[in-house]
Amino acid sequence: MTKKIGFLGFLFLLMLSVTINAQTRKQKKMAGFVMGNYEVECMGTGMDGTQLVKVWGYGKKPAVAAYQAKKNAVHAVVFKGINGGKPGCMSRPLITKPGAEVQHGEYFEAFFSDGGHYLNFVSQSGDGTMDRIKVSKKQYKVGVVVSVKHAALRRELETAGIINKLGGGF
Amino acid sequence: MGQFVFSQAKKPTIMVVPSDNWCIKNGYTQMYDEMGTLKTLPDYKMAIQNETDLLMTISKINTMMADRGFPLVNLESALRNIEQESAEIAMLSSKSGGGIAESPIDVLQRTANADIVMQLTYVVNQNGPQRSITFMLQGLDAYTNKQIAGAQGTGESSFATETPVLLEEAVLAHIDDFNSRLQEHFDDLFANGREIVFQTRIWDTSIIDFEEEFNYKGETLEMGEIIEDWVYDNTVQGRYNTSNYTENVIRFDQVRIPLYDDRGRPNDTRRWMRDLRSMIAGSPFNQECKIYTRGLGEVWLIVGEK
Repeated sequence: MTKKIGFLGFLFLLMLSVTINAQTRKQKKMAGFVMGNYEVECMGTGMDGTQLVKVWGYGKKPAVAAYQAKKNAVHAVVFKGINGGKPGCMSRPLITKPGAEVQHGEYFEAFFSDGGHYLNFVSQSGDGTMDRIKVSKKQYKVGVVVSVKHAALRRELETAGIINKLGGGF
Repeated sequence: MGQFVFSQAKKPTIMVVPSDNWCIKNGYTQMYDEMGTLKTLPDYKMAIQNETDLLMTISKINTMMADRGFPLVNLESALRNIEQESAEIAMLSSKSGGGIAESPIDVLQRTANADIVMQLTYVVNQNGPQRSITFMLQGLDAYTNKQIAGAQGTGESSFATETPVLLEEAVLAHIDDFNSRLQEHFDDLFANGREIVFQTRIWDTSIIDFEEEFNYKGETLEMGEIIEDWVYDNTVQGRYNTSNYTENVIRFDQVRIPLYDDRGRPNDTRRWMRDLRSMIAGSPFNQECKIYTRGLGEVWLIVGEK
């Protein structure tokens, strides 16, 4: 009998750990660079080689969500293109080759890690005000206007060998 | 140990020109009588000399393309160079008094030309006190006539902004999308070869035509069919299309030639065509041929004599 209870307890703990792990992975996915369901819109043309976008991020605190939003802005320019909002942004992403995100997964893991290299290509624009929506008890949705240096970002990806230099090979 | 080093592929030239539509709408045209038919041609020189906005826009595009690693041929300089070259050809003479040889076709080919033309069109829209710019940039392959890149759109309406500022914004907004498409074209070119147009023609003094039959490599075929087989064997994955086949003209389009020859040297239409010329000069054809090139993308082989 004791053995049976012990086995059931072990099974319960195992199930619990799987659920916890799944949640952690889900949370990681939500917070990580692979999260592709964020909203982004063009706010206009910036200086040469930059574009202004309004992008939204999610987080437990507004500051975390704003931080995530910056990451999303760079991700959008690299992988999605900016297709909504005002005219003036690149509707095509910097990387158009299908599967490049997976192919160069290791590079992008490091690039989009917290405090990663992506921060060199994005800066908050204007007076730093943000739109803040509390979507649940522990979740904020924050929208910020940021400037993304897409020309510098392109050079970075060219140097990393992920995209070809314009006219490279001639 | 010998090293096999690939040199760089031949780089296409790109030049920004105002579109025919823009030139005609703004009155920068010249009339040209072609055998009794009046034709309207764009007058680039007049347009550049009179339209500061156009000059500024072309200059902005040139600068941004150079910043992105692809310097362009400048239209104004190209036009000036042609004038200067014509004057120098007319003035130059050898010590014995001989002049520079120039056929009518040499004169005709001395025009501002590029392998890829970036055709620029813009319209200033007025809506009450508000103004906006509709901007269009088309990248056209001069030989295949295909649009290989493009970017277009209408900017935001503005109450106070001057036209040059709106134009500059339009260039900033569209140039990178344009370049992204241009890069895709280059990627395709590296993967599948350069797309060219190839025509074989016959001099009217020739004693044979393309329907003349020859026994070549154990098969009796028309000369045109033998040329077609050569094109199949010498294109990337045998890619070509025979769009016209008569006894006098065979036109091949969508011909994909390799960027490098079998010795690793950069290929162009003339180099690609040389083997066919040698083949036709040999037995059983024994025909001299003239190779006539039109830039990087079009070549004619004229059979019968040089």
